[in-house]
Amino acid sequence: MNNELDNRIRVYRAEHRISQSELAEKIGVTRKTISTIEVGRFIPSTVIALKLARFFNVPVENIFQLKDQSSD
Amino acid sequence: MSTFNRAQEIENIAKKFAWLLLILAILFLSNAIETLIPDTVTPYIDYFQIPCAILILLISIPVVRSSILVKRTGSYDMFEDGGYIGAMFQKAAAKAFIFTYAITVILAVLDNLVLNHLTAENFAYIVLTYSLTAFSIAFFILTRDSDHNDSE
Repeated sequence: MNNELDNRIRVYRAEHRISQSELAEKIGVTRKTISTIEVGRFIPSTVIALKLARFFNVPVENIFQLKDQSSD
Repeated sequence: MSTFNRAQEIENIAKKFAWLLLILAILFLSNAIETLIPDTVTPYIDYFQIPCAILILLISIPVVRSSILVKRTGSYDMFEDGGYIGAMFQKAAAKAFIFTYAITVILAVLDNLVLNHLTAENFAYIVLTYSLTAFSIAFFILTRDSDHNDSE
């Protein structure tokens, strides 16, 4: 579990009513990559982070935030 | 019919590759043991090695098939997409390298106790055994319990 990075992928997925598998297929990664990012076990590359942001049509910092930043 | 998922296919190749390396490590270990035991027992090692070789072949064929499919759809670089399995593959390789290096240094320091009693052939088998085992075990540990399914 990563102690520094928070992410809101699950929230955006729920908003878009999209499963992990569908999201994975849309951005060209595996479902396991999405699931491990969601639970904070894996920190994605910049490319994956940008692809997620582009897919959800939000700035990347809306999806990923440093933990001290998200508590502000 | 499900569509071809390139990333998923690369992940499957990586997993099968790790299994292949583990079986290969067992084969190298059996080769090392073969040179240390009496000749009367060596045929039993062959009985063990043959199924291992068949298993390697059975796993290799789908790996080659999948690799060709992946290659047809673009670059065949497991680390290119920055995915989880590619990252864990690299991490396992780094851990295996450190482990191999450390054990080899320890063996070199203990040369009178260990290396003097080993032939070059045996030493090579042993190094290959622990380096391949270290890689595959590290990979399996790093990727265990990593499935957090949440459909929506």
